[in-house]
Amino acid sequence: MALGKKTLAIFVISIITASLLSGVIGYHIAPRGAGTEEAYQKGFADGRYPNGTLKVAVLGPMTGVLASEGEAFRMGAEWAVEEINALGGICGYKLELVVGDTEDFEPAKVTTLIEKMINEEKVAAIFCGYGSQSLVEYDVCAKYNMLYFIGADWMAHQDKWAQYPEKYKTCFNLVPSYMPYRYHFPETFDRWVREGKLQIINKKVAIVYSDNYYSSWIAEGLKENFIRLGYNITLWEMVPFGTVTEWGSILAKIRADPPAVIINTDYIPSNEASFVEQFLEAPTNSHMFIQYGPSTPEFVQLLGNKCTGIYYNNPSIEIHTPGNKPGNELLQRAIKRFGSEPPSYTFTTYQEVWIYKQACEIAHEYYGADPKKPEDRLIIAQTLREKTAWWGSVGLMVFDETNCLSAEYAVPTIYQLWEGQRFCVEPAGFANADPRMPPWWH
Amino acid sequence: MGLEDLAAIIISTLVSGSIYTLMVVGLALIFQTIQYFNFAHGSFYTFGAYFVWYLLYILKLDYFTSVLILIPASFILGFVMQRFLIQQLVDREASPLVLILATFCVGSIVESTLLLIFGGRLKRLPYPIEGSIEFMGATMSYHKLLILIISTSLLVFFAYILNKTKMGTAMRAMAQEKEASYLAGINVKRMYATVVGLSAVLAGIGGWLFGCMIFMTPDFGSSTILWEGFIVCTLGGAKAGMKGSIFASYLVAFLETVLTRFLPMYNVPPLIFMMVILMLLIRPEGILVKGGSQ
Repeated sequence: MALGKKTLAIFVISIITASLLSGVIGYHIAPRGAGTEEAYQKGFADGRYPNGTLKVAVLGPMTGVLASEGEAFRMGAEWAVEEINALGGICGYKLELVVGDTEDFEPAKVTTLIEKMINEEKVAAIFCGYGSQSLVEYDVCAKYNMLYFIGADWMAHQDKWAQYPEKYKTCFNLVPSYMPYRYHFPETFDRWVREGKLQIINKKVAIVYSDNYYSSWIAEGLKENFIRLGYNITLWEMVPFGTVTEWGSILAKIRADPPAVIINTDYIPSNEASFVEQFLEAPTNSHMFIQYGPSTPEFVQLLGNKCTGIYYNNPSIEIHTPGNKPGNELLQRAIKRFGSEPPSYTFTTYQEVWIYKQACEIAHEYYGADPKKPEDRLIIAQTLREKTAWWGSVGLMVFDETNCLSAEYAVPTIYQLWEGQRFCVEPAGFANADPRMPPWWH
Repeated sequence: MGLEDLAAIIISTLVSGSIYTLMVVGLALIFQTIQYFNFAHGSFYTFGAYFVWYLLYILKLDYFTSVLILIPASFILGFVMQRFLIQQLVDREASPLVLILATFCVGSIVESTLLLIFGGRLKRLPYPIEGSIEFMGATMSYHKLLILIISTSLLVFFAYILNKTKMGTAMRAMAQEKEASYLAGINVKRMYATVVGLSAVLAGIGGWLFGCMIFMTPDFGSSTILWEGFIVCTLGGAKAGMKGSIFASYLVAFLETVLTRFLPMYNVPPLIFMMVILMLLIRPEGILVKGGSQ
């Protein structure tokens, strides 16, 4: 049966109305950026981009359960591209940012997307907060000598370099060693207890982790180190990776045998926040350590005072660390630009793009390298390893020449959330507070 | 197992079961009446949560008004989808697979639009009522109590509509015999759209209630709740109507709660799916449906 004209007209009008309404709503609530379109146009008019446009890509989960992370990657890259373009671009090129959606990080999707970026979009570099946890995309980037920047998955990066030294010369990882995630909190916590700074009810530990390499690797390290320090692991529970909303049964097990420490390394902030809230419905006399989630601004903003007392750590200093002047200044600039503190990975991709700019300009000056030429990417990569240094939000970033990892200048830190604020409680050189007993202690 | 554990299981079963019921009754209503599984239903859930968020935080309306406005807004969403998309396909005698795909597309469009407008950053709805009460030694938040009260009230209301009103009689007639319904003077197309509209209202309210318990992302409806709804529908039998749906909702909630209490959480979803497969093999029409297979 053919569509009636009246029905068709109503349908079309509905679609148009819905689109207009969405646009109005979107305009009404969309965040305002710094906006330097005027600067771009002026740039072209002034001839500050004599070489035209240089495409670069930012990849991340723009949809799905980790869409908030993807948005953070995009925000950081866009911010850097705007600033760099306002200053004249890179080597006479105006940067044009292409955004790619890695969705749920399924390796096939990530590699397909990267192939597309390289072969169809012809990007000169790819920036990412984190990609597939096994870093399968490194092989694609190695095949095309594509410059790839990432700020995570240290274990997988180490594994790949160990297997094929020198193959991944164009893949750079901004993270320092993740090893402190495994030992730093257990050792520090045990020291606090022995020094009398914290009380504990027993020497039991409950660990909840999720079915992914990052979470399980850290959880295993924490388990190993707590056992080494004389603690018993009374709960060792894996949850499926993805959205977990109901923690009642796990918390019931914890409440049946309250431990000294509860650890959750399921790094999805929304899961961890639900876990904390549901724990607080009937809390036990346990200290709580949560992996990664508390470092995101949403975790603190949305939980408010409910997150008081929770510990988290970082394998290096971070933007909040007292005394980290470059980091603190970057944070203030970010707040001014975005109106509030952006997620932590905004700073990762922001700095990746700036480090890339530095390397391109040095490579151009020393070797005449052109960032648009695929054959010159190896020169830029060499420059990144040998001549680039960046004092950023996590301290001094210098790439280790042997494995393209951010070299070992990092100082691991531990924080405790208290009434919406982050306090550095370890190490002493950066600490602005002592660890405190959690407010739910009874 | 102590009294406190038993209380925790009861609370978890009732709350999860109520959340599933709000999802599944709507799905079963559509399947029974119009004979397709609405894959856009999860996005109706998400829409409900984000719509209330928008009214509360952007338009700065009070909570009660925001939830009241949600009801017609959800109804319109479901009504429009059915009337202007699905009905066109039904009129052209499209196969059930085409209908399912169409709803899948609608769900994707709704959630993508929400992502475009609201972004991917986590959001949260405040609890309408803060605080908790003690129940047999276990703690239950007032919000969970509200979920029980609202879902029960809505189910009673819908049962009343289905059994005691002309509209409900028409819906039941259409479910049994569509052609005869035409002959009886029932405006079948408008009734279909009304059914989907009412189903969307249930989903929207469920989304609002659920959005207070989690940190919302634009796909939380389809990535979490929808699949549980599918499981419950299959176990209960989509043709079993409200009774089967309600029974299956609380059964699945009970099984999940008990199994997670004694087994690692990771092992529970595969067990639940195994039960679905067993049910499809042994009693494909559903737990409470009598008669031959569907």
